[in-house]
Amino acid sequence: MTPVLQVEELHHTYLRGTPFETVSLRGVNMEVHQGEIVSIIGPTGSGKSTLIQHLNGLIRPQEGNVFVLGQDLRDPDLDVKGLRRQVGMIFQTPEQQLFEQYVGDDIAFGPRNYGLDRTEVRQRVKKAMGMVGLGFEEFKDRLTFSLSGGEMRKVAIAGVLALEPRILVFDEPTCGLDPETSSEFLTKIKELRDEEEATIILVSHDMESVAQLADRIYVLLQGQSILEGTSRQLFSQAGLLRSYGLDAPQVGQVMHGLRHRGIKVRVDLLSVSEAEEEIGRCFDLSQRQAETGA
Amino acid sequence: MTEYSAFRHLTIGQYLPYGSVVHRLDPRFKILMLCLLMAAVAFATSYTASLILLIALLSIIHMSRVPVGYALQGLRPALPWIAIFAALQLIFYKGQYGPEPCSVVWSWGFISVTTCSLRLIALMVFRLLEFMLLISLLTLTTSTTELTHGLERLLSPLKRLRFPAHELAMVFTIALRFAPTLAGELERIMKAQASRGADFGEQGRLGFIRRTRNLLPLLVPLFLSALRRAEDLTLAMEARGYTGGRGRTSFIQLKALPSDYLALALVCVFCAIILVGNLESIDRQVFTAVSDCVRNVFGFVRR
Amino acid sequence: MSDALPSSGERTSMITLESVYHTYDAQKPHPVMALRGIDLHIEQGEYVVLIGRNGSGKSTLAKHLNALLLPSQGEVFIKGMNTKDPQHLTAIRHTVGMVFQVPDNQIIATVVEEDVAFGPENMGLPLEELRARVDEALTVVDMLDHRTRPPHMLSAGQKQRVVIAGAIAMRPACLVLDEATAMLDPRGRRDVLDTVQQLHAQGVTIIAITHFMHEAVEGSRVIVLDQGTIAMDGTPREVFSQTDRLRQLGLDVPPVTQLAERIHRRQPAFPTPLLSVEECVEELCRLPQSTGVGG
Repeated sequence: MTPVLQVEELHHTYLRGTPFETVSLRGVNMEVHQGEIVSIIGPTGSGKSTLIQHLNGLIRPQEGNVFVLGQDLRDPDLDVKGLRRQVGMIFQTPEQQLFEQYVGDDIAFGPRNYGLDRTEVRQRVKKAMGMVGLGFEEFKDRLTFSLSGGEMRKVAIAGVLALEPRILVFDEPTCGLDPETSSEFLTKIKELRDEEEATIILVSHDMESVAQLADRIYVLLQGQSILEGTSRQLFSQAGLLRSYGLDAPQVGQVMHGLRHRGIKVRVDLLSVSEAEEEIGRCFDLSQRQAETGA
Repeated sequence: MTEYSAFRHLTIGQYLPYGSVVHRLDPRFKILMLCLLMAAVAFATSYTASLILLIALLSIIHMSRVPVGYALQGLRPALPWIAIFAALQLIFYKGQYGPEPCSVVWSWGFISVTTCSLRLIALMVFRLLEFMLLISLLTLTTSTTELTHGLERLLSPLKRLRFPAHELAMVFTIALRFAPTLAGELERIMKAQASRGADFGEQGRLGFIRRTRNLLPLLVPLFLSALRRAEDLTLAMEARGYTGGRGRTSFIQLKALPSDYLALALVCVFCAIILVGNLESIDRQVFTAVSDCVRNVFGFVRR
Repeated sequence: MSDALPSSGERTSMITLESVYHTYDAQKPHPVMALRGIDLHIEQGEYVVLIGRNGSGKSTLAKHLNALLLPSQGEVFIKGMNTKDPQHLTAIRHTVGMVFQVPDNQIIATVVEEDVAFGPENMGLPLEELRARVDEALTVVDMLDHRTRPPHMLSAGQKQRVVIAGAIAMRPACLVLDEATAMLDPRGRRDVLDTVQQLHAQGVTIIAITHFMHEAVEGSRVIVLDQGTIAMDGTPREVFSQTDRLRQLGLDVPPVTQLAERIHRRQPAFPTPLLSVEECVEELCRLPQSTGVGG
């Protein structure tokens, strides 16, 4: 099956031909299939931001190819506006883009830009608010800037969901959120894939959440995709990750630590439950040793 | 295609730290010299004066090791406007300008080009170019820090007259400090709204009213962000013991060297010559010489 | 800077809060009581981590520590000085430095070293002292090489370190970090936390406010806030052992602690709580291995 997104040998240089020239991407390759949750991880400056901005046409490919839902992003006649309806982009701290006085109006901004009629807009807003967990009647006439930080972020996300895009790109969705709200957001992202069949691309620093959500992960370093694989494959290479300035989830670090000590445990584990099971398998937890005592 | 990232690198008169003689001058003196030269440019009324000023400025630029081409490049966006303005003046100016009486050089209907209007636009073009070169010269060779400190020091004697020199300098510094940050923010907001299908003229011709309304999704978030930053910054400043200008010492020290005084003296003399010297007579002499020469050449050719 | 003489024995600690209440918008239709009767003593040299879910009052509490906010009821004493007394304001701000969440919004100057000098300039120190303090502070945060750079060319982690330098250039006895790592990537966060550990080792009292549980282990004391009151107060180990209570308060322990707890449930001899990966690995290696698994 053809991938919904394909990036081939993508290069990008900012401000070419000026004294401030910087190379951001040096040949990135990426492929995403329908319904996947793919995560892009990497330190600051690795080019993640530049890469995802290609996906909805904010940046056009200078060198290399990008194909999104069968469209060639190098095509000068590309319907960019139409593309942005299909690829929804949610930037870091998206609550900073809110501008309408009332919540409902801000969420309706997207659909209105595409000339949808009033009934359709209303329907979309209602659905989008439901998806992020904001009650339609309760929140639609609230003053946008009277909401809490987490609520405003939900409004911003709903604003993009109202376009009903097939692909969703999240840049650091949980940045600045406390653990409770963070957890809630991540669950909702999974629901979007499971229930709405959206394809999701997640840029994140948070290894723990990436491990929970991602089917596949791309590791970006200095403008190149240097590692790629399923989360299990990737996190089982903790040593490699550390050399790139990234950390495996804590659970993975424990398993690696044990491996290091010569204990043959599996290292490709992602959750506390899996780790508990594996430890239960490799260690005898029933015997009570006289030395360790009770 | 809209180049969003250009905003981030737009600095007010980009400072190029080449460390030349000009760079090392004390900023207070540079500001004073700028004022003197501006006056000279504004009041120069002869071709000779304008030409001398232009040559002088270009030589100073050369001394500052800034590539002359780069400095002139900054003038390019203004050229079409200058051309339009000059053309209008050329066509419609009918009055007296300069010491010589006007004579018509060419006319067609109500449009007439006289020697006076020619003189006017020539000097005007020179003047505009020189103003821009002067300002560029200052900002290319002086960092924003130096500029604000220089300005504050120059204005500080006015504190006795209740003039808020320190506050002004602080406002100026903070504005310059946040200019690139806010430009980056604007870029982010544009991208976010564009990603929701907003039009920023990418698709070409939009009505003026429509285009202004389209600015709301940009201006409101930017404004709110600026307010938020201001609030945070106030807290941070208070937390660091800021209580206004009184009792503060300064990390940046400006020391005037003999070379600064010398440079200032030279500029004074130069400007005096430009303003007070009878340079129009040189104009006249040059003209007579040139027209004699031309007449001789034509005469020779005709024969 | 002289210390005010304490009027009572209890006020010799670095920071004392006595029955502190704080209400926002007291005159408006919907007042919010952010702090409800906080009693707290923090001694010199402690590293206290203040944790709580959103709305628990942690940020409000932080701002009482350097008189950015005054209590609606109750008293706050910094080294014996009452924050309500305007005469002590300057001394208090020199004693307690503060670093906030957004690095960009704390940097005033167009050049790193000038920003670090801002605090000392406000203190009216002479030029040589200014220069010495700037050098010292930048060295501690390892940003000396970047002294002449403009802030918009630094990464978020670097900016935050410059902000810390600006705070410690005033040589405060205490440093409060109000969610200072929230906006940083793991690398930046680690750099900031390492710098803070260094400062603590030099004797600076540290109060770190965070919602990251894995940062709670950095300190020697963890205080959990809930709806404006202190719900828990103890060493990281003491606090982490009460996982159910923490969950009630909207917090959770780090994965490694969760793992240790689960193993402990199956084998009571296994110690809990465990705070770090290293501890966990160490303790696991002490367990007997199942037969059939090589060593």
